Amino acid sequence: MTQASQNQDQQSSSHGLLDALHEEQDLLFNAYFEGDLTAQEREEFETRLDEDEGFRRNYDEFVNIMSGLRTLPFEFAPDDFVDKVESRIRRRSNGRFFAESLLYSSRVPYEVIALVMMVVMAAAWMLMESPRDSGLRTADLTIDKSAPNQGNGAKETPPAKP
Amino acid sequence: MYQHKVFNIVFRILNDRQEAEDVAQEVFITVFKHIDQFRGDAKFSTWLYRIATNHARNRIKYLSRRARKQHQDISDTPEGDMEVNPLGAAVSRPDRQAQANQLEEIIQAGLSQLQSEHREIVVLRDIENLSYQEISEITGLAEGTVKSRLFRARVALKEFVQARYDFQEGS
Repeated sequence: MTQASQNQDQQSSSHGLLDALHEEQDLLFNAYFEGDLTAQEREEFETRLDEDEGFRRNYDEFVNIMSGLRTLPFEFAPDDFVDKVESRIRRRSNGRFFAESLLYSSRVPYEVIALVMMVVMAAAWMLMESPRDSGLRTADLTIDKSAPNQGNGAKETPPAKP
Repeated sequence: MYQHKVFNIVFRILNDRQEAEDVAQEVFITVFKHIDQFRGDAKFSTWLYRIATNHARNRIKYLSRRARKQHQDISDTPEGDMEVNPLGAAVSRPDRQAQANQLEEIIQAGLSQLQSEHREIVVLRDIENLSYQEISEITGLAEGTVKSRLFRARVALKEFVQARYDFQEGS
């Protein structure tokens, strides 16, 4: 094995070792942050935080990033969000759902009002033109010639005796 | 109410307001159509968030497919756990960068560069503060898988931020 290849092997193994150390550190940070460590592990971790400045700095950076995630501003849906959802449902259901109610429509439905008025007026006219006393139509107006004392010949019921 | 929660989750997964609004609307249409399928075994919010994350995931897939079709430029990311986010371009908008806190911007950028399955777990756990059990129910993954994905995602995010933000100088 040449010197160069030996150096390359040493370098790659030291990189691998560093990666493993980093991963172990990340695992520890994550476990401590999540509260997954046992009481003894937690104590050891905190002792190391106090004694190892680099370790502390790395952990602080990790915590800063986690805090940054948690404090990202809350994004609110737009004000017309619900209206847009209703409108999509209305369109896709061909007006079966969330159809606009005439009662709550912002526009006055003049054509509907005109139609209703015409129907009401037609109904009123028909009612006014119809005979008030329906009994007149059914009265027997035939003249009885065999009864001379009765002027118009209409059948009359005799007055009731007192 | 729920529309804000759903919008926030979808926005953090997609990192684009317009897409988030469209997807959030589709979420509520799905809820409207399939409300009879909600049996009450889980919390309503869990059911709702499951629909939201599924829609967001599908949108990411659709946008990725569309982006590939259009032969858009794909930026390289050094992190192994990162993927190209078709919505990533929104992160670098100068007006937003200028307005928002730099660390917050970098974190959001890092979040949008995570693999989508990692990103949704970070959003649910670290932003929405949901329990592992709830996340497991929402994603349909075992709790162990959720934990390991969360760990991978946090490491990738940490590396992304550390490469771009100097904590000593605060920039």
